[in-house]
Amino acid sequence: MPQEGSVKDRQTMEVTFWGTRGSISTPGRGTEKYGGNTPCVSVTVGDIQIILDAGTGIRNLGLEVDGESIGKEKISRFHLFLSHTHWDHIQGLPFFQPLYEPHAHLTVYGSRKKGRFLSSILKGQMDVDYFPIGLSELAATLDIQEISSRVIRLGPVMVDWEEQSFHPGGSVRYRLSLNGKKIVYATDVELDRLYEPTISKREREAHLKRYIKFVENADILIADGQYTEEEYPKKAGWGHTSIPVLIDLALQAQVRQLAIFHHDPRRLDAEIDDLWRMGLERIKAKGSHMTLFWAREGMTLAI
Amino acid sequence: MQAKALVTGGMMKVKFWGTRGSIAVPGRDTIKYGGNTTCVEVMLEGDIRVIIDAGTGIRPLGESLEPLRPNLDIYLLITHIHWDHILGFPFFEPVYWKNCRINIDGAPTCMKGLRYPFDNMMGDGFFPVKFHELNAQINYLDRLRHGPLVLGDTVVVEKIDLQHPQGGYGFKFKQGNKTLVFISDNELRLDGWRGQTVKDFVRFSEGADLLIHDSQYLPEEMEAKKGWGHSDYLTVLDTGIQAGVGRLVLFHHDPSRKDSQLDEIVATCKKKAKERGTSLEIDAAREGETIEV
Repeated sequence: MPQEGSVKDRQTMEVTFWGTRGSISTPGRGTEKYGGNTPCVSVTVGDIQIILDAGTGIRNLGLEVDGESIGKEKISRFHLFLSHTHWDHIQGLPFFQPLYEPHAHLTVYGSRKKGRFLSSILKGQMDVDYFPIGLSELAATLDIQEISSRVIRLGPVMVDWEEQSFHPGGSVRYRLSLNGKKIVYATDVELDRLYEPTISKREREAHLKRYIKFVENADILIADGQYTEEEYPKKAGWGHTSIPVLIDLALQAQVRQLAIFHHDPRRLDAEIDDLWRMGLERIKAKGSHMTLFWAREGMTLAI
Repeated sequence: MQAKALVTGGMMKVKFWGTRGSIAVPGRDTIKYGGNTTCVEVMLEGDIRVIIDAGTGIRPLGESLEPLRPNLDIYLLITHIHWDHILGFPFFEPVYWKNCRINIDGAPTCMKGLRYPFDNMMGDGFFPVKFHELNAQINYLDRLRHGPLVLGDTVVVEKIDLQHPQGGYGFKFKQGNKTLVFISDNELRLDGWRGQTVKDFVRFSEGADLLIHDSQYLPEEMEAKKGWGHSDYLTVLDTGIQAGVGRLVLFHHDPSRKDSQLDEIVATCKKKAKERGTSLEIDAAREGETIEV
């Protein structure tokens, strides 16, 4: 870390959780603390606005930025990176207020490894049978890109990505780097599958090596830990990771803080508090000082 | 079967599991009236349980049915297939239960809408389970578009076409001398584009014990939202008064509407009703609440 850097060196990435819940929104008293909106995380560096996934949480993000910055002469630019296009990760998009502002510009990045083009998936979501407003009726400029280059540069921020192996239909993990700091967003992946007997030792090691290399030394790893160890066997194949597997991999990769994400819709706040306690014990027992928490809607961190 | 009858003495019961329109809105500002999208449970004579719409509220409703898992027989009526009315279906636990029969009817596109989240929508055909693999027996009754649907010995369900983009149905439940009308996603206006005017909805709701109606907007928002297929609460109030209903429940709350604003809307409606000298009872639908008719 720089001792006395330039202004640029001192820039931080501000991470805010707008939606932390997996699969489906879960409004109500039981989820007030950790939140009921589906995945959306914003990362802001100066005036660069990066958004990870567009679950229902993106609605509140849109309302906040709309009040602050849009509708003036200046163009507001947003860069939205989609982990994949399962409904819980894109359903908030039509409710992202800046899309209805002519001064907004949104670039959507997603995997090209799909049977259908990203733009047609997003158009399908707003198909007239299911949603009354079409994608072409939006006032904002929308630029939908299937990622082709290894690295995307947004000012001083570098974004690189990797396809994840274990999620029905596939998913992508992203890494945002700025001055040696790293944020990794790796949700909707079933890392438990690595330990299935059907996977050969060689294959397992190759997968592990690739995963660890990508998340290694992350200042924060935001990752899918939807299931408990007990729940996982019943949900094998659904594309999500169990908590102990995630914690152990994060320890192995020497992650600095692990934000467990994509909470199961059934999980109440009190249960997460208990899981948190157990998770901390697990880390302590392994002699590590990794910071561990369950992502809470509304929480902001500076990285 | 159930030890206790769902309802007795000719009564109907309605429970709200999702009251919100357009998109689920979790958070502190929606705790009282609820943040889940449309789902209403109607309990009738003869242990008949009808669910209206499969918005996100159908997930907790499904969990509540766990005690009936050994043998569950229910009806699911779909008003229309906009996302906020069908998205909860893959998260409705009973679809994965073997001894479960779900009898479906409603808008003519209802089966297409219920299939879509499984076979298509969760990206491009990769929800882990396919619609045809569901354990529950899912039967499409296909009755309502031809005429009334009769449930058991005493219940008749009728439909009315909605003023809503891409259309849809409102429902009327008649049981003995009790009438319940549920109309969501409907724009009450004098020049209805489907040939229906306020008069038709007044006639359909005439004398109902309970009218549950979409009232997503404020009167001052209507100009900007004309044609979106939702009503403002004053027009709904007026319709309820004209139809002489016993009780009016405002429904399909706008995602931006906070609990405190809904409290104000209800207070305004009550005041206006009083000024007009009616005894109409008025409330806004609250998630988790049960109303007896």
